[in-house]
Amino acid sequence: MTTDQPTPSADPLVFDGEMTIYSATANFQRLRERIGKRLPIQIDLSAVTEIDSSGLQLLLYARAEADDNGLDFSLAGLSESVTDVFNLLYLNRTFGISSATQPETSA
Amino acid sequence: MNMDAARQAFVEEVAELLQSMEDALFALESSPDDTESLNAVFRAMHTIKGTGGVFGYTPIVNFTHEIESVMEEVRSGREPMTEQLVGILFECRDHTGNLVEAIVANDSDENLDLDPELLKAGQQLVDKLIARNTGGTGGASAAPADAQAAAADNDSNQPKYLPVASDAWIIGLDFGPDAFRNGMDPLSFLRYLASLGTIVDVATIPIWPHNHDDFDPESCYLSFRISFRSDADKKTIADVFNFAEDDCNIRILAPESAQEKYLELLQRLPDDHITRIGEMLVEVGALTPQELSRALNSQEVTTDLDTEEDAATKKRRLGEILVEQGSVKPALMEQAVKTQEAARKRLDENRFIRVDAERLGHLINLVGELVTSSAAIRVMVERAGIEDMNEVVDGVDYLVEEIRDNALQLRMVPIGDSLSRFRRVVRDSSKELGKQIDLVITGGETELDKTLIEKITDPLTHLIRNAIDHAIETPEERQRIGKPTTGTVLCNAFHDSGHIVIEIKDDGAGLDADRIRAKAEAKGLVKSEDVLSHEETLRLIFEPGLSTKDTASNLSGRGVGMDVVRRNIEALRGSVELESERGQGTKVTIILPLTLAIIDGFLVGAGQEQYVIPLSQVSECVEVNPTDTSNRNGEHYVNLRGEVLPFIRLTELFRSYNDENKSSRESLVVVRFGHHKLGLVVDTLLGELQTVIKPLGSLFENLQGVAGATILGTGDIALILDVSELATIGQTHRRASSQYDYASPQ
Repeated sequence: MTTDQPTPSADPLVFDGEMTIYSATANFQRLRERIGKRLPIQIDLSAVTEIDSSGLQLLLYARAEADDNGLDFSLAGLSESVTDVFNLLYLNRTFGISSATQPETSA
Repeated sequence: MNMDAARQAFVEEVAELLQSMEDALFALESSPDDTESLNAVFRAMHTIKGTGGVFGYTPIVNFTHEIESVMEEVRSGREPMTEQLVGILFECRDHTGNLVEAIVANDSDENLDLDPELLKAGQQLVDKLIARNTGGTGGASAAPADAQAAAADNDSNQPKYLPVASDAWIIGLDFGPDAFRNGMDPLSFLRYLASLGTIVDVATIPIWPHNHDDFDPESCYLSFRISFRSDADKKTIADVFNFAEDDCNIRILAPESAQEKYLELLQRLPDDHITRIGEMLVEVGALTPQELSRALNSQEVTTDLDTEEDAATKKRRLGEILVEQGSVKPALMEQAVKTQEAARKRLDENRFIRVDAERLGHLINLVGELVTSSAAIRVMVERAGIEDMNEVVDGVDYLVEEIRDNALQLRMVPIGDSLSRFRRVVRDSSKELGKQIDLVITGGETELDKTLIEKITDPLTHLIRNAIDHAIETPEERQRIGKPTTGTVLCNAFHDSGHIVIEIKDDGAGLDADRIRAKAEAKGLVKSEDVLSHEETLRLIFEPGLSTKDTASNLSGRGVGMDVVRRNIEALRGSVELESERGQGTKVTIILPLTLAIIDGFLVGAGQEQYVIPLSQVSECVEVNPTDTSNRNGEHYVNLRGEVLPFIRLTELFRSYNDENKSSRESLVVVRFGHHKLGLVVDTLLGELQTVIKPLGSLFENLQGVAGATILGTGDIALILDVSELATIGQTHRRASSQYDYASPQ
């Protein structure tokens, strides 16, 4: 678990295990709830063992929704599989991850 | 190919190129910006230069190079195409023709000493071109800037002017909403792609639903723009996305370096691989089959009613779709189109075979012999009375007839090509004379034996020059008398009952019958007391030594008169007719037989002889009742259904009486030529016959009324009658009783 997130008001949203098309709807519901409560969108991805395009899309959606609703957005704890995808797609910029912090992952 | 044959091919190629250049120049006169025509002029010069270079004809190379350079400037838009330039280019075209002629006439390859006059003329033309150059752009300093600007504008289709793109593939992937549900994971494609090379950059572009609340986590909203560096070819890269085909819009744009490779491949594509533009692009790997079928699909959606004639626009549209779709770059499409066009042209050429005219002539001679032999077989079979063979002989006859028609067809060419060369005559001479003249050509598709066309060109040129020089008035004069300032010369050709009719008609001053009469009397051609009809007076211009124009101009009146025209045409078994209305114009009608070799004939017997009448001229056969005929001063007339028809009794004309048959009934064959009709009275009608015309030889060349002879199946000889000459004889008979003496040739 990462602890360096500057959001005191709520626990980060934790996605874990397989972040794929099979879990997409469930994950989405959790995200919607959070947005509905206008809580900052902090997502913990350290326990993600596998991420596919739908998972990635969900993250992108979260990022966009946060912007639209004026909510803070941050990702915490990128697992290796997430990092791989971010590297492959050059997405670190998009998610506000400096390339320096990028390899620093906690499993 | 030996040197001579190669040279011959060169000459023919040059002639064709110059012809297309001329056509293009005509087009440019009316629409100076026509890219197609500009290209045609450029291509003509470029190709002649190239081929001339192969033969080492330096003067040709040097001269055409200058024109090519100028055309390049014009083509790229750096120079405007002006009327003046078109004029100079016309001259250049002629000079090129002269150069080629002179050089080829010089025969040996080394001997390139040309007539200094010719070279001087060439130099003058080049000077003219250059003078126009500097004068036209208004100062040398302004020119380069203009040129640069123009280059930027107009050469954008050339690769070197394209914005420099990165040396990477650009791949666009737009996934459809059902991609995830169909088990697709875009990431896996990207991972696989990464294994083929380096993904330089990726832009991930999610296209969210308009209302964010409609977001469905199981739908795919992702698009990717990938910059990818790899040595793999387009097909390999496209194969990565093979499975995504249905759920993804895939665009793969090759890097600059690959573009060049494609361009090169396209240029080198062998002709038999050149099919449709899309297939060509697939072949060189610039396009994937999927991309093509996608483009074709979208094309089908937009255009359901594609017809054959739409092919050209269709092709362009496919090109547009492919470029729009981002599958190929415009430059590549351009090259593909070019390659395709060039190949089509070459294939077109392959559709035709050049055949030595002599071989064709030989073939036709042989067919002629075959016709005769087949007739002989028929006679034999009939004589022997072998019933079983009749059917076979019928079959052979039918085949022989087909072969004959086809063989003759081989020599048939549309007359249009030779008529269109008169456009140049009209253009040049009307300029020279300060007249405004339109040449209207109709019926150019009418086909005629090639040998006839060659022989008819000179008389036609003469007639057209006459029309321009003598007939059409100056614009001022025409305006004064209330005619349109631009005169018209109409050239029309059509088929009429086994003949071809060529009309040259102008709306000029018409012939002055009084002056013709006066001149003819002065020359002693007619006596002042002779009574001539209007038509007969006009026909006097066909007599030698009669030119009504008092001043011989540069164009006509050089001693080659209408008499030569008539002689030339009559030598082809043709005839000329003349109609003219003072102030309204003149119409010259030339009637020619379709071919010189074999005709369908109608065999008749008269006295001891048999004669062939060209079947196309036979209008009907009737039985003559002696009570219907009348004989006045040696002229025969028959009452044909109330119409008075003059007729000639062949037995009388050829003095070939057959006493045994004297009492038997006679038949009247009504023949027609032009607007006239004439009756020929014969003893027997023997039916149709394929007739091979054998010339009579120099001894009987001047025999009037006989066009030639033919050998019958029995081995007998029959004379072929020349109907129009017979009519003349008939008329002369009427005027001067029995001046001609015809003995029956044996």
